[in-house]
Amino acid sequence: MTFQVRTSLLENVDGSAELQIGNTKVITSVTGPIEPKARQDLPNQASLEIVIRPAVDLASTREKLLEDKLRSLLQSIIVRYKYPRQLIQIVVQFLVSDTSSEGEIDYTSNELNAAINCCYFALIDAGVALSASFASLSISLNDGKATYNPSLVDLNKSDSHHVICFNIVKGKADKILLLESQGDIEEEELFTMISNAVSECEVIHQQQRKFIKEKVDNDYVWKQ
Amino acid sequence: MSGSLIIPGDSLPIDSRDSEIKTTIGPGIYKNPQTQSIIPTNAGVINVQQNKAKTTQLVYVESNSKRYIPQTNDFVIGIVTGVVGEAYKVLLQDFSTAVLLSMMAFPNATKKNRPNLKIGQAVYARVSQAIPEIETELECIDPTTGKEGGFGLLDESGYIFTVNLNFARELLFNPNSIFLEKLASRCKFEIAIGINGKVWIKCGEGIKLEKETSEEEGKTPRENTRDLKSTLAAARYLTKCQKISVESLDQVLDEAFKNV
Amino acid sequence: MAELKQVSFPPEILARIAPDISLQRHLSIGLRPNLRNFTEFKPIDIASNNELTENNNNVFGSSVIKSGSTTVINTITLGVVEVNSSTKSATTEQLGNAGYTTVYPVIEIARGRSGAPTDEEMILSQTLHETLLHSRLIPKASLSINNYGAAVYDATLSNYSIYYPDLNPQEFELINFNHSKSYTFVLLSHIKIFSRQKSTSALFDLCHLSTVHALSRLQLPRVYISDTTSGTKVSVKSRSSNTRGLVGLSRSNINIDTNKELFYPLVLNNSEDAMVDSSGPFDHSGVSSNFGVVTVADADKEGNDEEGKRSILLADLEGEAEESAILSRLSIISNKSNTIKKISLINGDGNSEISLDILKQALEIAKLRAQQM
Repeated sequence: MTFQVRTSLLENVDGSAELQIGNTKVITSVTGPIEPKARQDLPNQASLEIVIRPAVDLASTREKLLEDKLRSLLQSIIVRYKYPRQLIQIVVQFLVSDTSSEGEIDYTSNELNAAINCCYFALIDAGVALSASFASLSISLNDGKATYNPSLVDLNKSDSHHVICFNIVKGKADKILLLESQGDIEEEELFTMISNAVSECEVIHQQQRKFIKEKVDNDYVWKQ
Repeated sequence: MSGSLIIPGDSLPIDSRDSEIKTTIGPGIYKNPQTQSIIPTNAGVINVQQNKAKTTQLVYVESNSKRYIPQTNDFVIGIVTGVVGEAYKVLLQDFSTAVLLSMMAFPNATKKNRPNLKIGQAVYARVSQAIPEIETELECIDPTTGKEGGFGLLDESGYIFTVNLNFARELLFNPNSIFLEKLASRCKFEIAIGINGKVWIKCGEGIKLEKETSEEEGKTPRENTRDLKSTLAAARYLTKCQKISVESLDQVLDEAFKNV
Repeated sequence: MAELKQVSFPPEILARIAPDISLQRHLSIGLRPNLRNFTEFKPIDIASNNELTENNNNVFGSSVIKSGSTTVINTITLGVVEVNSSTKSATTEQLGNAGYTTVYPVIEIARGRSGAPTDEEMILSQTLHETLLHSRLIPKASLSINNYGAAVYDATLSNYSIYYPDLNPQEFELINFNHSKSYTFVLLSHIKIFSRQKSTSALFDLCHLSTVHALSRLQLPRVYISDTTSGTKVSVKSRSSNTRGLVGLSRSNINIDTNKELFYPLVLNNSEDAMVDSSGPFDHSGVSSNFGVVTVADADKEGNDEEGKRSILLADLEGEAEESAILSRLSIISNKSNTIKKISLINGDGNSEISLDILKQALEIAKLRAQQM
């Protein structure tokens, strides 16, 4: 499983990342901690503003639901008590995503997966305090056979599809932060899938670490 | 760069349970108030410094970022954006919460004798109080002498530009840094470095309005154009320095000063 | 020196100013603020009458359910859209997941004022929309319209009679009937929630239940085509033409026959017969259950940092304290054949982790609940 990523590509925000994974390409910006609007102001922790924009068309309830899922994940992983009375603004703009044509139905799992993974790099780039690393994986199951990062065609043929995000502590997948499963799932199948996803997410984490190493080296390129 | 990489979720290379050593945590490290555990929260290079007696140690993560979070005793450059009561509102970065600079926080200031700052002017100041829950405060007095000590209004013939926070720290804290040394070989300059990523620089007489130059005696307009060009070239040079390795420093310097 | 005094609050005030502490206090003595057992669900009453459908010509399926004071009223109305005739010929099996469709819900939580939908309403609607789509409950074939009738003016009786090819084959043969476009029904669900007391995830359970219940009682009407404008008119959005939804080209109108005797039940997936029988609407679709996990320090073991703590699984979150203080949440839809239809798990609280064991435990409860429904 591979992805391409670039960071610090936007000049006027504090952190940004562009990620391509499968057929989905997304760019994320992070600004913060900045001054919140009065209604966003929380007295003892940072508030999060998450905006998701689709690749085509205007944002609808579909993006609202994605925003909600992303927010509940990120609010637990960002050390929000470190930035009281501040705002962290995250904008996720999809550049390319699978669009369902006639005879296919719409899935949001690949977009959620790409958004989570891209947010990780953007948050690291912005230097926002995180309590742990995290990596997510999109999976489709067909007759108990797992496909990682399924295409829209795979999803349309699948029995069930999942997005799973692990918290990575000390290089190991520690606990499930988010699991979104839909379709027909047998319990046994589910737990096999989860245990397989653990090692898969650790592989993703190795790639994350490798990339961050390059990024930090690049940040200090002027150092003797 | 030397030193080992640390990212959120990794364990710190220190034994936090060892009560013999008193640990001081710096940027990029967070102590969970509930569990008392110490974790790294930023991706960067881990630094652990122990004193000789091995009784205290300092741990911090050196990393780059663009957003500045005020800390006490930081030297910063801010722009005056307004007046609230007896204090100026000062913006340290775009979209950040404005900080306060009391009118009393200037040398020799009294109720009657107030400093006269206008909106849009830049000041060099020290963060005197930075508690995240309440408003941050600045002052323009050197706390040891009670005098001006280089703080105060930055004159308008200088040029302000932004750099990444890690580079600003390098320029301000590293006495052996070669970037300013190289620059000094090309021109005479005055510089104020804010740890909030803002740098004020002025070569010679700096940037002057045309009217002012004509009034000045003994200086030809041509000389002033030179100062203006060098100021901009110096800013260009320092901005570029962030993205290159030391080997190509001379080349970048030449390029920046090509037309001067 | 100012003297520091300990402040104490009556329980109801503490619950408002510090819901997390209030919840901890309750749980440490083995109680929930709503006095239910930890894994007890609030009973749900499903209204058995069908008044809303019977009294309104435009409501084709409805459901009224109540849980405590929270009342959910769900009415399903229909829309008709033109479909591309090329995809129509494929069977449900050939289409895979695309052979299924879903409802388009609008959820409204009554809160004493009107205005644009809140984020919560939008999120609930969208979750319901996606869940029903991916649980493969409504085959597209069930909604496509076959056997269009034709309205014929009878001069002797001076009224219109409607003939259907399957019901009145002899009469139908005599009519010059020429109709090539194909249409399908679209299910529009309007859900109104009154005196809400439950948390968002518990509301989803109720919305899901009420929609499945309303679908199971949904009666689809016959559709006929007339050249005149009598009858119930439905505006039809035409996808293939660029006439901006105007169906004026053939000058024929699509009409819904409001004759209730000719209504036929909606065929849901995996059901031999229509599920008019109220015993089995949840066999395939499943029942949604929600849980929260919170860590409490046991009162009797206080001071003992790690060991005194245990994670508690709470079912069916309700009330302000549980809504705001529990961030690790789990929502499961399981059906009678023990197939899991949906899991939505979020570990929003670093201290209260939903471990695999707790997930298993919750799955067991969800399955049991689906069996008993």
